Amino acid sequence: MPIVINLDVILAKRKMRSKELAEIIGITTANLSILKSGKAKAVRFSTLEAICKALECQPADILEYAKEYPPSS
Amino acid sequence: MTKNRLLNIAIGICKFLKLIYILSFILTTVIFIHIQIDREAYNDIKINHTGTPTTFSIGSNKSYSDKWKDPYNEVYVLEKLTTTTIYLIYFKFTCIFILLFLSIKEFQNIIQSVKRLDTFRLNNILSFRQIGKYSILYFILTLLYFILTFNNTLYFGQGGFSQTSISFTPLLFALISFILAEIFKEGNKLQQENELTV
Repeated sequence: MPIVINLDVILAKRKMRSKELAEIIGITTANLSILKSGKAKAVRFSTLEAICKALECQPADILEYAKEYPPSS
Repeated sequence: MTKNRLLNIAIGICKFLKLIYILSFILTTVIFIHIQIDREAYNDIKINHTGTPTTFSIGSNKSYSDKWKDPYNEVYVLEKLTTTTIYLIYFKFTCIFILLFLSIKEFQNIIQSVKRLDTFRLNNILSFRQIGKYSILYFILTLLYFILTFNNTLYFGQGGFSQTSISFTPLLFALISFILAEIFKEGNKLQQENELTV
């Protein structure tokens, strides 16, 4: 998927652990792991809002669009 | 939903039907073997073919005393069925029992998953597809029997009676099963999307 989740980078910058963030925003670590690994199909605005609030960042800091190039033959 | 009465009744019916099919299979096999050993034991069992074109039934001589006065009917006793016809009937019925048993088993699995609130899982899609395949097999089996017995004729020593009908109901069941499989596939997709929404 061309949407990349940069949550790891922001967490490292803020020196915060995944478990800690999960507790703050009120989701399970399993769900946070799904989000971090890029397996998530959708993110609720409420979750995004909670993450931005906890990490003091903008949605654009977490989500990034990376253009997919067709495989060269 | 573990205490859902309707689902429990459905599971109970499925178990009962499975038992019936197992017993029917065993009984058919026992009769089939016994017919080979002692044909004369079936001397007075006559085959009645006065019902609808798709059915025939077995009755005793006494209950049909008026109907069996015709001398031609003396031919139509179970004992006088040709060996090929007996083998074909046995093959048809055993296969039908097996297919029905497997279909009921798959259906029971689906109901049990609904009871566990795990309705749109991948196994249910496969179960519905299996039921569809079994229905098609059932149709092919009846068609094959129809062809092998030349218009579904029951052959006796000196004659026989035929019926010219093929049931398309199994094909309808197959169609419904495949449609349900597609619906459950869509449900599975939606469930996965819901589970992967953070």
